[in-house]
Amino acid sequence: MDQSPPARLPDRGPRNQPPPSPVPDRGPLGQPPGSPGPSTDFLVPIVDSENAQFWEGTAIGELRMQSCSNCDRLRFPPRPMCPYCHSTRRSWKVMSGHATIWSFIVAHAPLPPAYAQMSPYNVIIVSLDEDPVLRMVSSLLDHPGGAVNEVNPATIQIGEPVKAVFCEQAGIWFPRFVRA
Amino acid sequence: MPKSPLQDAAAIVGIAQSEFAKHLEPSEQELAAKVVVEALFDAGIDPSEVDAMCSLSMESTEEVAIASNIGAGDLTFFSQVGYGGGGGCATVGHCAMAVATGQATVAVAWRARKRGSGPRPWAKTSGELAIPGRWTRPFGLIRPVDEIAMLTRRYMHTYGATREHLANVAIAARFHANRNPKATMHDRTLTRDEYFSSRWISEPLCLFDNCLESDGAVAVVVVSADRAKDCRNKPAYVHSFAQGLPRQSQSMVNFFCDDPLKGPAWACARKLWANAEIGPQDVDVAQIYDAFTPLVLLSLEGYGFCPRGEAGGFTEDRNLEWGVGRLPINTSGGSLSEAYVHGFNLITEGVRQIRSTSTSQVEGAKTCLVTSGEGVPTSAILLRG
Repeated sequence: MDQSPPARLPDRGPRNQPPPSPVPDRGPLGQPPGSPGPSTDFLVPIVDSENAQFWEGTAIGELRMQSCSNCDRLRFPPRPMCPYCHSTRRSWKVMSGHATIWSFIVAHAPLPPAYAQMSPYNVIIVSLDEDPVLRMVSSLLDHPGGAVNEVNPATIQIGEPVKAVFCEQAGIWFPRFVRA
Repeated sequence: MPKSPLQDAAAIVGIAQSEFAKHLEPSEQELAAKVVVEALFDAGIDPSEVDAMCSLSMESTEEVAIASNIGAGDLTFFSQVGYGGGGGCATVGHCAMAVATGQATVAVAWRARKRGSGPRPWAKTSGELAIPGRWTRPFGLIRPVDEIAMLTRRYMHTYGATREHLANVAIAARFHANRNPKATMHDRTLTRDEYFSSRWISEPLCLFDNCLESDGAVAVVVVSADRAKDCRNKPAYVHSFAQGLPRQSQSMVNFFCDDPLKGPAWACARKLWANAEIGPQDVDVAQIYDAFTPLVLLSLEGYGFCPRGEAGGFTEDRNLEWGVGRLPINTSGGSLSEAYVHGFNLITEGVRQIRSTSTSQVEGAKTCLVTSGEGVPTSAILLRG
């Protein structure tokens, strides 16, 4: 049942090798929606017309949030309509990348194999400084380019200030966070 | 305020469940058809009289399959409810609305699942992700337990709840399962030491904070209050029913609204109590959806059994246990220790409490609250004898 190796201490060395699997046949950017994807070791974000500019931003080191072009309210996850003023005019704004940790977990096996290999690893939710209701799921790294299992989980605290960094995995630039 | 037209207008008059186990041989369709027929026998109603059906949208056995197996008559109402474990009580509620409004006369709701035998739904790493999942799963927040662990950590931080409180929930469920010969965990006790020495699954949740992985099937029969008087067993009237999908909420990854710790239970409870003649203080026993122990804490607050942030304390002094506590919950062992069939076994146990046939019978129980999954768009029914 449990396919994972025994739990390892979180102070082992960095693991930042590219994943062993090939990048999926369909590129994660601009892939046709609705088509069944090939099997990959990692779950990849699905890019569509609504969120493409988010991922275009992370590829050039920008953390972007969708913004209503009518009332200027920010919203996340992206969607066509502003829930406050019902405008469908929308654009993207670049955030500072500063945030605080809202919550976190440490995932242990059983997990899909590629994730079990990295476990235990952290997953965090951050609140962006621009509006604390803008919350994003991400990872806390020890340093830019670090691995998701390097930070000793016992040291992670809700409320810690963090800063966005951008790391490539399976051809995608993920926003992740380091301590500010 | 005018009385809700649904109040006590329909009743659960038949219940049935399969054996619960890690692995059962029959197919989901066979299990489903058998429990539906057994529930109808329990009610004293011939299967040919069935004219309404309701199930979860994730149910693999559709109405046409059930109807053709059991020899149902012409169906004039059928519906499915979304959002997984949030929809269990809603299937009963939809049946109740159908028979109370005259759209149908005999309604059945069922759930058949071979989760114990089948693959884990989260194990698949290919294919499309649901839209909110696109912002969470690629970051390693993959399993339902991870999603609920995230809320749990925040809850513990905000209100000072501890793992002792989560253990109280797990131990209460196991205590009740030990009293129920049909529960998967009937023969296995759970001590506090065992809870605290178990392995992590997703910190701060350990193995015993998670429900079982079960094969099993459950069905209930719903008819109007008039018809219920003629049935074989004591009716469990649907005194009140509500669904809840609060503003800006998501399913499972409910992190993006203003107040993620005030989940769908709050919206559901507002309507449930508004439609009822009684309040939480009048509830004798409750079946609270327990795919994960922290869902019980969040639900106790949402349904008004304690003030916000105080559910941890509410679990202390064996307060959730039969024979001891103010509010015995999950008296068959629940999802944690009887079987995980998306909470449908909580519904049948609620009916048994009203019939006075539970293995952990609350003396003189007249009211039982049954809730569906918290953390997803949810539903609840208030049963009354």
